[in-house]
Amino acid sequence: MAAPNRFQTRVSILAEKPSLTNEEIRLNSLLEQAQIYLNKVNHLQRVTKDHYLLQQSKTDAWSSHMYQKIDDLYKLCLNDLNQSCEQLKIFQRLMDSILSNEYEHNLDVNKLLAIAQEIRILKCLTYQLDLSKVKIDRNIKSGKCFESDEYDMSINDNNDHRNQNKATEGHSSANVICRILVHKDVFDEIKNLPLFQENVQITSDEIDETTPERVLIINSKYENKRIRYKDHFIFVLIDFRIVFLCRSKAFRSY
Amino acid sequence: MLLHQSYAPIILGKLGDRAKVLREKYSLHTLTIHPTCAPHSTERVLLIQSSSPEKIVACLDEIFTNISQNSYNEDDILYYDERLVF
Repeated sequence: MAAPNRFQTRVSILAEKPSLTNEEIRLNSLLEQAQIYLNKVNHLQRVTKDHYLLQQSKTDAWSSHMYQKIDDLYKLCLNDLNQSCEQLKIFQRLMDSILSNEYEHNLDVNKLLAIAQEIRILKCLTYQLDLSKVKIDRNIKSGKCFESDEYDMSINDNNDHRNQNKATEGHSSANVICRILVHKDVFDEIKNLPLFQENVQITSDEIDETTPERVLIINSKYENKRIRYKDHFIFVLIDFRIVFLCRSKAFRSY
Repeated sequence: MLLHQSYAPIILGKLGDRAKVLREKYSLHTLTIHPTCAPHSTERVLLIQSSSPEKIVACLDEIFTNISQNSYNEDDILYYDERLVF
């Protein structure tokens, strides 16, 4: 920042002389102008600085207001989440006590109403459980309905799993059916054999002559307690192997 | 033979190791399962080739013994019908 005093002193000395030369008049004028411009620059500088200080204080005020707002929102969310969490824990404890009680497997109306009330409370909360991710760990088997509008439900225990496995095992051994894909020529050669008539089924008797292949199904009519289906069709295949050996050319081309 | 597609991994094994064992055990020329199902079905073709029919039948006996210990979803069964294709 320029020092104004030096210019003011010089101007006053020049003004004391009785007559000034042209150069001195010109110099005087220049000095006055410089003084004016200097004052203007100083003034602008002060104004800019004041404006900057004002903006800075406004920004500070705004930022602390924002921090406060975020802090308040955070506390509010935390409160709501804690409330939802507490309510969920209460619901979990209720369900545990109702479903885990080994002496009481029956859900009566009062218990169902209690569950419904808890669910209603859960629905009013700001933060709610994402039901798509809820997994019920136990199976509930429905029982019979009583006349007095009570509904009897019981929990499925592990015994049913054992029964289910047995059913699966029985089902699997009956599922395996021997289906053989053969060329039409092979089919035409063996279809009239007694072995074929007794043991083999086909998809349909009405098949277009242009269809190049046939599906043969070894039937299970001889399956009994002494002969399993698997052993039966193996015997059939053993008998058929002679037939297939004779027709090996047809197989190779197929 | 036509077999449900779920039996393919049981017969072939990981990286085809079981199929290789069967081929060596029964001296088979070929033991493969077609990579895709027959048209409009959930069945795949099991192809076994050998110079000895007895060995083919013996191999089939072992295969069916293995696969009969496993089950598949009954709703998934779609048998191949040659009438629908040709």
